[in-house]
Amino acid sequence: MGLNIAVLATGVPNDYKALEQAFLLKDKYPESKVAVFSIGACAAGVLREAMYRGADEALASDSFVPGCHDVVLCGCQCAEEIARLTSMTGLSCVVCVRSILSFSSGNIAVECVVENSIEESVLSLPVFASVDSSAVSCRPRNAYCLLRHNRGKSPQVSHAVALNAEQTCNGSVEVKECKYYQASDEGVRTFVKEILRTRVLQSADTAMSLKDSSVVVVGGYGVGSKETFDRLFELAHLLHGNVGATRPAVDAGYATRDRMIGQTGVVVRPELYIAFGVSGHTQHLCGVKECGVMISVNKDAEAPINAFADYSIIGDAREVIDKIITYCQQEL
Amino acid sequence: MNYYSDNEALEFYLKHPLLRRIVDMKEKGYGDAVGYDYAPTNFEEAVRGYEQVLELVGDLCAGTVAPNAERVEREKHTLEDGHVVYAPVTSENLKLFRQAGLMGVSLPRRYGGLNFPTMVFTMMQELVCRADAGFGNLWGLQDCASTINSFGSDEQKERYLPMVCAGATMSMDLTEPDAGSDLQNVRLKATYDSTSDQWYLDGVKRFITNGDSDIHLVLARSEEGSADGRGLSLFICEKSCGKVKTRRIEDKMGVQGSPTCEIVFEHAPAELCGSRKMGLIKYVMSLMNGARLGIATQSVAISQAAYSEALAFAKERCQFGKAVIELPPVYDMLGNIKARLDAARSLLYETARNVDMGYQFAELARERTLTPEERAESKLYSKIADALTPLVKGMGSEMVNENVYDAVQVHGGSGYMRDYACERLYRDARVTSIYEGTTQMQVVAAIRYATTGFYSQLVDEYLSFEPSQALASLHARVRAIANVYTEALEVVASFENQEMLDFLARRLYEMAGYCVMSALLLRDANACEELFASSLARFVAIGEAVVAGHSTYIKNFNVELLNKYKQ
Repeated sequence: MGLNIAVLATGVPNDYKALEQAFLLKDKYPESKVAVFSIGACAAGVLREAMYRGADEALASDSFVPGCHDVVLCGCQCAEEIARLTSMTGLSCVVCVRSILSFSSGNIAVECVVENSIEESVLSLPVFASVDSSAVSCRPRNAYCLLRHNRGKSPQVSHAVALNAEQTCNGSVEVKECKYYQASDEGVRTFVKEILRTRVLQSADTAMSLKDSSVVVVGGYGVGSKETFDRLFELAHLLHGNVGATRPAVDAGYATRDRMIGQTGVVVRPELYIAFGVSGHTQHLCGVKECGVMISVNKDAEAPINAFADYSIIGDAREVIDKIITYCQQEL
Repeated sequence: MNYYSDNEALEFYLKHPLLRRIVDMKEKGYGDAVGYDYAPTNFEEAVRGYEQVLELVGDLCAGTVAPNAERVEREKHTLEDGHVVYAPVTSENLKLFRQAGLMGVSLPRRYGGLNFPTMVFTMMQELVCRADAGFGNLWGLQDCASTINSFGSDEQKERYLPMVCAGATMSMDLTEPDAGSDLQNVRLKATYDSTSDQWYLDGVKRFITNGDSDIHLVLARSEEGSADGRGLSLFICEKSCGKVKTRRIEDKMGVQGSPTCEIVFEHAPAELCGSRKMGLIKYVMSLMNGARLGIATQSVAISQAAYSEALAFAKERCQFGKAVIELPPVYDMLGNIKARLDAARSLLYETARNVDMGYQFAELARERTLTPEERAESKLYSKIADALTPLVKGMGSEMVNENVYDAVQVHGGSGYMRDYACERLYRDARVTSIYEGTTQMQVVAAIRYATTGFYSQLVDEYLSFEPSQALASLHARVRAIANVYTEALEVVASFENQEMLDFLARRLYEMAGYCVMSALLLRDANACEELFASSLARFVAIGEAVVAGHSTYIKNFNVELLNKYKQ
């Protein structure tokens, strides 16, 4: 008696709560299979961790077909996604699950958090469920899974990422030589003078929509807060551009969904693209594949985006935004 | 924080050149790769696997076990209806390690184990004990399963080893109220009932670490009327039989992460492990050697924890307008802690490597007849392992006590308060020189390797390399203390008096310890100056002073002085 379980991961900590519920089900019904699907820009890390902790396979979102699984679990950040999928498929749905109690004859009993109290309910399979953030934490990595993975017998993760890149980007994202600027006052000032001033003069028309903007300023999860994200609007105003966001930034509530760029959001073709705190996963980059000049501000020099950026400033996005705004006001 | 990747010395010891041979022998042509998807296909992959798992352990230890260590002292284990209920944090730690698949680390894959060498298991144990020495005991007792693996029947292996890998806990039930160091005196009775073809155990065991374990290994008297070690056999007894009750949980000074129990066997059904009458002579010796290595590991681990705590405190604490680490009396203590820590660790992993090699040859001998060369090699590795095990257990545990003493001293008044971890480390360390054979018992086990000149031979061999220019003078100084030690041996031999030898044995043992450890650390420093050279210089300086002191004492010793000690 096994269940076919899917976990939808978007690359945020709550994914792990959903994973643990899937693993607990598998503990109880060992013949079950747990498949993890990446539906976020930053989910590659979660997918790898899922394999290290006991998932059976990790797959790209394209492979997810609603209706093929008995139970589909996701973190509480995905309540919206659940609503969309259930309305598409007409399947039963439950939110704020704290634990899954049992499974018998096509039904599943769950415990949900409803306005500060716990309620039990029974649902018929297949079911979509978002797991409450008060659910138990995820188990640690497992030595056997680590070794299995280490031996290269579970190439699903890298395969999934490669598949994604192939299907959605057609290999059109090329690796370029990137020029780096320092995050110091002088470095940012030079950057504004050398790069922004020339580019902005060339593309100085104010666009109406994000899709048609010639300058796009994008914030990722790395900007750290909604307050910092909001400063991007000041910069976009100075550069006569518009503001976009990555999936994790939207999930974190920094921006509204209509600003999302990438695989499941808007595709943009700006002449100038500046990314703050964006790591640069395929799912996001395929939404900007035809931009003119790509600039990245990221504290991690190894971030994937730097393989695609023309210019890069290595530093904390929050500090660099302030500096760029200051120098743009002086120099532009 | 990660206790593995934070500590470069560990990677150095993991990647010792002998590891290749150990792993090649252990993996036997990497044949398991066919039937087990987590088995390595070659040496490099095996080592990468060890590193990944060590990192996992290092993470769990720093992230969960260490923060839990303080809580376990407050929560305490309780006794309910003859059974132990672990403190909640202990259960949490155990659950974590079961989920992480770390319960059958060195057992063969066919029983669900990871098939890791002793070297790597030892390293994991260092990480766990650094976080919480008490939990380290509980977790480390899985090593008892190796005794079943070596000496049990196929049916026993198939029954018990998968249980261990799945997370069953173990205990080794040896000590009794009247049989501590003197295990020959064990009285717990094993009776064979021929009608039901079943052994039964009756009696009491005391001071049993994790005494309410799932699987007990019990030393019992199977030969009625016998009085010594030859009447003892080893038995396997399961908790699930319901006839083993915990009578009392000891209220002890430290290592509170594992309950220490007094247990009663009330006609408990048990299985004989291995052959009758070989219990103490063969199996408990094997069990004890593993356990002694475990305590040596625990000693190094607590030293590491004490050093980290003391160093951090000394950097932060300001007196007289500067951080106390800048004051000579303080950096004196810190430098000595680090030197003793590094030297003990060097000896620990040298011992573990030899235990591994000895074990691999014993395994090989079970499969086929060894060639004469292999037999000679096998004998040598086992002999080195047997000689170094009591040395590292005794020296390591005595040194950790010096280290925690100094670590508390570095903390000053704060170190006496429960607010700082070093107060717990101080108490935890104390038992290491007592259990699994007191230091005095280690001296008894080791002294023949001193008097026969085996330790001197080992030191010679360890010193037989061309040192780098920078280490040449230290090399000569280690050679010199080895000569002082050899002279002292000759002086004691010239007394031709067994009682004087027994009396002076501890001093000879310590001299041997300093010589062997200095030579080993010198070799490591020669391979990696950056990590070990400064500890080496300090350790040799301490060693010279100790060896000279003991030498003077021995030279001035005589029967009159011996008699003055008698109260």
